[in-house]
Amino acid sequence: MPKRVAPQLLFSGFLLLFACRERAPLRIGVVLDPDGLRGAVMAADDLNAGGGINGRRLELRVVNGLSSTSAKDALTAAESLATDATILAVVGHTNSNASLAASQVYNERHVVQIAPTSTAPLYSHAGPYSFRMVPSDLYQGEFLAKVVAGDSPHPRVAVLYENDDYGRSLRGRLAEELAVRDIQPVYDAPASVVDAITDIPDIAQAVVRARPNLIVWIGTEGELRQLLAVVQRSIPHVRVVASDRFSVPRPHEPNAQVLYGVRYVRFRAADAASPATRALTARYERQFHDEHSDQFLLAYDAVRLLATAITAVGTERGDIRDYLAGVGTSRPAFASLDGPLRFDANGDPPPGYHLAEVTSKGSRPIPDAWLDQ
Amino acid sequence: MITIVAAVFGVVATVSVLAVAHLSRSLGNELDRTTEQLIDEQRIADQIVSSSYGQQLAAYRYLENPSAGTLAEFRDGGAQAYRGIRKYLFRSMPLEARLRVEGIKEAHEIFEVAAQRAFDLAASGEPARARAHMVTLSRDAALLERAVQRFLAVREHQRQELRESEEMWLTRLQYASVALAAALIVAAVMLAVLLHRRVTTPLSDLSVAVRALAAGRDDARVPPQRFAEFQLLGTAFNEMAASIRQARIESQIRNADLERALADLQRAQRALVQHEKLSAVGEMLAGLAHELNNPLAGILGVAECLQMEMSGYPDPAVQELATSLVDPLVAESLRARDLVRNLLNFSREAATQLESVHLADAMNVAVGLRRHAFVQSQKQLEISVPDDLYVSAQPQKLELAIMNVVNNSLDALNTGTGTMLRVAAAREEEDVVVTFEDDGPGFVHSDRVFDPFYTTKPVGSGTGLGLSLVHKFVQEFGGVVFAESAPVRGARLVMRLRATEPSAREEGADAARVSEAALAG
Repeated sequence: MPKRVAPQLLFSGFLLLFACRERAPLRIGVVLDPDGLRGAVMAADDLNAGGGINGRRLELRVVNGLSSTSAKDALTAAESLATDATILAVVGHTNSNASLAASQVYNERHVVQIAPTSTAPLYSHAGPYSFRMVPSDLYQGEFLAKVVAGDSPHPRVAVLYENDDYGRSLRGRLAEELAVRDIQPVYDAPASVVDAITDIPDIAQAVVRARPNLIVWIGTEGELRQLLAVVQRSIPHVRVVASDRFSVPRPHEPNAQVLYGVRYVRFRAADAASPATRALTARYERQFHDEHSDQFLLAYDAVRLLATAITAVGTERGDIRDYLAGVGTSRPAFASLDGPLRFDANGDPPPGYHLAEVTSKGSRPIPDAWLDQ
Repeated sequence: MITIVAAVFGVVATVSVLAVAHLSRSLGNELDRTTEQLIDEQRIADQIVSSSYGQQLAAYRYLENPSAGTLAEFRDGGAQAYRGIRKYLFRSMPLEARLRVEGIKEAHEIFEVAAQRAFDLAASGEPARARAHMVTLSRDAALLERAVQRFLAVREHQRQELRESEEMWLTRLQYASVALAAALIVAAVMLAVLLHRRVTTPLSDLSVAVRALAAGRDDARVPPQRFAEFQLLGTAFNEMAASIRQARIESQIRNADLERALADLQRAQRALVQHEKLSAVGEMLAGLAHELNNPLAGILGVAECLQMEMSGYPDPAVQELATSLVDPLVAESLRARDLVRNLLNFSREAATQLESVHLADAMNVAVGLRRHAFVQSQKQLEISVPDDLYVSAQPQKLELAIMNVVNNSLDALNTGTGTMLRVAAAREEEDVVVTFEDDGPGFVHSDRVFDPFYTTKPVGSGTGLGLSLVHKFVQEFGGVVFAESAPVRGARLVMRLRATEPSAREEGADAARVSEAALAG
């Protein structure tokens, strides 16, 4: 090859390589439950329809769909994503158990993690690369205690919880706040473990024996539905308050009606949704013919938040982390669907809880004023 | 240079050794940290296991005798175990170990739920089922303990792997160190050889040449160099040395010229001094001669008249008287007259009319008058005067000057030492140099021989004016004369006369001489 041509070809090759690299899509890892995944996908589609991030497409790498609540599975998924050099950040995981376990892998590898719905207090100390879209359960325990105290003058409350990081920590805070309010649970025990409930008749019998007028459920709706179906035979009017892990059942699901009347904690005031939120939820219902959950909206915001960070500082993982750490302080507050979002020093947003009730028509928001009664 | 190279490589080798030592220490520190961590994890594991056993014990006691205290004890144990498990959460460990930790956590969670079920059964009045559930509880406790042990085993295995890895790395480091050291040594030797060839040797050549040049050997040169950098240096040095040599030669030539000029100046100075002396003496002598001339003329006249008169008397007594008294009177008067004349000649300013004189002819005339004297004295006289030399002079004075020199030499030879006088002449640029050289005793004071009345002869053997006249005449001719003793023995007198071209008359005389020579041949 003539000496004059070789350098030109080499230079052109470098240019081509550089250009291709510059047009390659940006990739974010996603480890969420189905509704959360819908929110992430919709956010990515909306961003790409608007030209992407700095002219580049946003691509989601989805890992572990339904089994994303297991800590062991979370570790494996985190290892896979953290060692992928093309992954800029991760939105996940679904619950505190999984998010806590995965957080150590992400922090060791310096990968930003945004957990949309993980509330365990321990997550605040997971590391500088871990952020979340919801407040710590240090505050939810107090909120639930207020709900219990406001339920009746002399509540007979039974506390049932998932025996994992989330359930144990929230139950512990609730017990402290109830003690402050001089409320002693008539029954307080773990009901399920690893998202599975067994010996339902025995648990139901133990609960019924305690004759509660209020059950505080710290777990998923599926386990609650199984338990209530048995409990309500004996105490049909028992009221139930569920924590944030509860999600509204689909009408077609079996025994969905046993959950009607259950009040549950939400992070968003459904009756005060912004126009953007209403538009988005309307799109969700049109597309999926279903009622959205907080997981959908929070995952949607999490992806948008990452897009904002990448647009501002580029694709270096450390720069993205630094940007998120400064959201609301050195960086502008993020314009989430629910209003300005700010992170504290632990990467947590400030507390804000609302109640909603399950009805035959879906979820009905309960005005916040109820709490003052 | 080699010392510097050796020092550099020594430093590099030392740094390498230190780096290896540091790496070794780091690896060792990491192993120590891991071992400490493992010991701490063992302690936590013991706490978890003991807490779970405490829970199991509390569960058994609660089943036997339910009480809030026992239940609280169970829950406290659970909280303690959970805290221990969560201590593992924020520790750095490989994925496999983390998975084991989650396994411990799950096992404990399952254990606690199983215990709660047993409590519920016991509270609902089903002790048999409760006790059956305790079997499950025991199994779950055993599973928990096994999970803990598996975790510890994994960590121990990882520590073992780390130690083996460290040992392997240490071994590799040692081999690498040895290889590096050997490579450094080889590189040092190669570099030293390269430096020696490319730097030290050329510099040494240059140094030798510089020293030689400094010692005065301006023929010192740097030999041809192989490498461009030193070629330039060598060429520059050689050019400099050549310039120095040339400058030295020119300096020597100038020094020689300067020395000649100095010698000429000194001679001119001596001549000037001599001239001044002679001028002063001349003036004195002129006055004296004029004063003496008249009385001498009178004395001589009367003496000659008396001699003539007495020669006419035949009386032997008169004749004897004439011979013993009058003849000497006349002779001495004549001698005095000659002396006065010489004095007058000496004192007269040069009003010489110079002409082109054939040197060989003048020489022949002057020497011819004294050749017989040499033969009689058994001394040799060699004349070597080319026939084509003409000088600016006055013929008679030149002949007289030559004759005075020859006479002076003969007188010196006659003192008993020396046998030969050589006279040679040669053209030197604008001059003709006539050299008179004998092997006699030499000049006692060569710087005074041209002084008037200076003589080393006995009283009455000479007036001491002969060489003074030579000096005077040569000066009149526009030439110079100097005298010196020969290096070994003898005297040397050199006349430097202005060379001329033969006049028309001389050219005719030349042609005659050539014809005579041809006819004679």
